[in-house]
Amino acid sequence: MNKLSDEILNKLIDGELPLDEVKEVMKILNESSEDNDRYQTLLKLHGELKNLKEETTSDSFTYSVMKRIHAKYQVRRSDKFFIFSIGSIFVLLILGLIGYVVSSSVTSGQSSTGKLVVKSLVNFTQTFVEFSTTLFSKSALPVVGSIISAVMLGIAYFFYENLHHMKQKLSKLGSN
Amino acid sequence: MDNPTDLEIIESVKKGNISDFSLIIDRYKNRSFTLLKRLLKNPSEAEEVLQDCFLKAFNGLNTFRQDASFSTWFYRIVYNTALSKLSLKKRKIENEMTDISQRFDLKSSYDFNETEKKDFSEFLNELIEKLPENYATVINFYYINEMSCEEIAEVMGTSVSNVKVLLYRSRNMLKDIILKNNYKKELF
Repeated sequence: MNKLSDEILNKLIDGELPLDEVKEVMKILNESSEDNDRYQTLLKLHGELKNLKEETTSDSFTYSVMKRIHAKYQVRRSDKFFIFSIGSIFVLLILGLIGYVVSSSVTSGQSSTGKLVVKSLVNFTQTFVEFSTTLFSKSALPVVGSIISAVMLGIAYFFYENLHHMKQKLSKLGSN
Repeated sequence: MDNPTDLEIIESVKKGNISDFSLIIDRYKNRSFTLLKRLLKNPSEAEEVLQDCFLKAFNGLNTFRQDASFSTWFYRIVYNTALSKLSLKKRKIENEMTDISQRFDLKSSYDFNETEKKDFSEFLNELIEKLPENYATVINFYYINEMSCEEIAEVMGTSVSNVKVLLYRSRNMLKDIILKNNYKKELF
């Protein structure tokens, strides 16, 4: 019959038993051949497990992963560029609107000071306002709306195509 | 830098030197592959999953907190990805520890005579692959990756005492197979 539990034997191997208990356990091991047999097997197994070697991946493994990472990084960069371009268009539109608002306020409430400074700005904004008024007039609005819609659809199409193309590229790399 | 630390490499990658990530791959690929191969029992699938793990790590570098060790963080990615893969394959994942006789009849599933010509470490490797997933994981982390029980607990999301129990049970399981099947002479 076993006097020592597997847990105690495992703790002995891992050096987790207090010194006084170690002496006691060693004494039992000397007396019980059955326990000693189990202990020796566990100890040998522990040694064999320690000597196990790690498996190795294929030679091209690092290259394949780096290829996928570089491709993904390129996608990220092109996405950033695309978002930046769209953002720039919106910023320009907003600046135009601000310009319109500024010109309106300047033309309606000019003071005697700074007339010369704002004169050139007024000329510029007046031209811009006239252009905007014509552009967004009742007659031209459907045409402008159609053009903007077409541009937006075009952007969306190219964005989708870009993503689709990159996905295909990535899956190809993945399968390699 | 002759032998840069993980954190130094990560800093460099974050600065835009993407190629430096290959140092991380070379450092962790074999140990992670050993674990994945044991869990998934398919080398090509293990390699494919490992590629995904490295991609996940690369994409998540910004979320990596530098107060933790990179190895623990990365092995957690590997372990969790393996578990997801296993559950996708509708394989049974063991979370509880029950008696060996109720769970696995390793004796019937393995016969050393079939592979007598193999050396013992190869035989042992195959035995470990037959162990329940969490047992094989602990054995792998402890002996191959040389991780402490604390680190293993962090990766597996469990307590240190639970890791020790898993470790003892896996060793006992292997010992029982050796003793019951008279493989002692191959061991000694």
